[in-house]
Amino acid sequence: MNEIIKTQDLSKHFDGIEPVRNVNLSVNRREFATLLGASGSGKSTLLGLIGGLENPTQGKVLIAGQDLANLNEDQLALLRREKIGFVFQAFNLIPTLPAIENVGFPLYPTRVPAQERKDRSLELLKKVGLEVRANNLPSELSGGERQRVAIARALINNPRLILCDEPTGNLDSKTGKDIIELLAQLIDDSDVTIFMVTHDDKVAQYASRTFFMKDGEVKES
Amino acid sequence: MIHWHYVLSEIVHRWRRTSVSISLIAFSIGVLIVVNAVGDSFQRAFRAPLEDMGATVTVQRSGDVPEKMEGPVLPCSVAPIHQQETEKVVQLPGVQSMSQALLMWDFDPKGFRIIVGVRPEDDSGPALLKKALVSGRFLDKNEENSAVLDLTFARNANLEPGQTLEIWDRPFNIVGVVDSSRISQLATAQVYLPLSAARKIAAESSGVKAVHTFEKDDSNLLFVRADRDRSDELARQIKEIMGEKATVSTPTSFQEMLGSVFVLTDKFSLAISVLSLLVAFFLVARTTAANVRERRPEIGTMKAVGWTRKDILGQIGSETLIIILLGMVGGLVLGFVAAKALSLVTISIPIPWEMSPRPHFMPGGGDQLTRDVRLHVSISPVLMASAFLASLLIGIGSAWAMARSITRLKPSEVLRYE
Repeated sequence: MNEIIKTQDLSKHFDGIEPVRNVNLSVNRREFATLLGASGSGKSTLLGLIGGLENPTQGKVLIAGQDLANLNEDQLALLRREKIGFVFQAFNLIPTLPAIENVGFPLYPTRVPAQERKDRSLELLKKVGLEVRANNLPSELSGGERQRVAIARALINNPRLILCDEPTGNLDSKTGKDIIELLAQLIDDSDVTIFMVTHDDKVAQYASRTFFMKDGEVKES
Repeated sequence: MIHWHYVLSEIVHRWRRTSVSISLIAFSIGVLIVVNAVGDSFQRAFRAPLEDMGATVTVQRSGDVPEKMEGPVLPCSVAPIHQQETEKVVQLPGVQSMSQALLMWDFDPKGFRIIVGVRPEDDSGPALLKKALVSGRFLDKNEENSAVLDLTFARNANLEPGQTLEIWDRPFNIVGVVDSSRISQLATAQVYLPLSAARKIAAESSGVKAVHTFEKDDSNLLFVRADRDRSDELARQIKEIMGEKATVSTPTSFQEMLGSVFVLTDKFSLAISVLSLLVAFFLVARTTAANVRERRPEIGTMKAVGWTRKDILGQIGSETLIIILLGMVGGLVLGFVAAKALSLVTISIPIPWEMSPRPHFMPGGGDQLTRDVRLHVSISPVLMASAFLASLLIGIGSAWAMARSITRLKPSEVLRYE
């Protein structure tokens, strides 16, 4: 199957507003898709719906052909563990664990042996250029380094899809550019699809497809 | 699967929260242990004056004051207890065994003597003096004319085994000397005679006959060994048999003599225990909920990267479990230290005047007798098991609070950053 993300008439209402309105979009394997829009346009809500972090009011989300509506909370967690990696604007690293443990964090509840987890984590830290910072706590890393650790964490489970929520929002422009280039490089190196939510239209130049979101509605450029 | 490295890193890195939680649990468990251990030690202390005599309950009855202080008389606090009454008492439910004694004062022209008639074969009461023998031997149940003396009296009167003592013109062979102070302050005397001999003296004494009807099988002190839990009920039943003038001493009556504070401590130890547990339960549940609140982004991240609810509960539950176990150990240590410190405390239990064998009008006779008891606060295995159960309850409570918070947490809300 070529379609990794597919939404059908997807809507979300809460507190009298409708941040996502009848969204129909699809993203194929190894595409780098960006969703551009102003703050409050509903981008993050849509990302949450695609990642199974929120339930839609109406419509469907299919990830690699699997309808999320048929899954309970734990099954959604397992789907994310196996198929999806997340990169957030606020990095969301575990403050008490060093970089190498943060990278391996999604594998903690699995039966992957500790040594294998460490080897894979170190390999990914090398890939993002941070092997020398493996034993540093997040508080000892710069913003760009933290986001690289978060990207390595998103890759630890060999996901088919990486969902990024404003990954450069907390970084200066030079570091932000480096991060986007690193993410774009992933498409070339592995069988991964990236769906990135951002309000930075410069990111679009790296994307193979660009969507725009305004008042809950999505259009493709 | 629980990742212990992560558990420990959370406990160590968040040391302030960890130490507050551990301290709260340790304090509550410590209070629970100490309150109950102190309550138990007081109960043991209140039993001490009676247990010195091998009894759970002692019985006597007040009567008339002797008309003249001449020859053998019965003190007004120990009027005769008739054999029929004794038989009714021994048949009461919960009574295991009973000893009898007869306390007399002998106003002899050569000097005053306190005499107690003893059944040597008894396993309670003054018969226990056989364990406090200093020289010679104790009385034998088949002999009538033997006497055992108290050590102080023997020294003052210059008497020793092998010599003869006259009581009301009757010669008694001194067979031994006992140190009464080693056993008790109740029913102690200067001269101990076989009960049968003492009964004969009382029955024939004009001083006794002037105010009492004394039969040959009567006595005036009963030492009842019974189920501890039934002592208060037994006291009530004995009073029904013996009438209003009966004085029935129980651990509760000694406790009541010490005043309302001790009664309140005893009655409210359960309430204090429950309250300390409830406070701990509430504080730990609140701390756990605050912990979950503080770690909302972390828990949101766990959910986002594929941790199931069970995985998250297992992980944070393990942290809580370790904190509770450390708190329990801290509480036990606190309890042990407090118990050791409180064990240095000695309380003086007053002996009621009617239980004092000495006449109040004699020198020193009016002094308040007391029994000094070290508290010996000890932590029993049952108490330790209760503390463990209490910790477990706190753990279940906090797990419930945690599960509730984690279930309600929506990762999209805590991870959003727009």
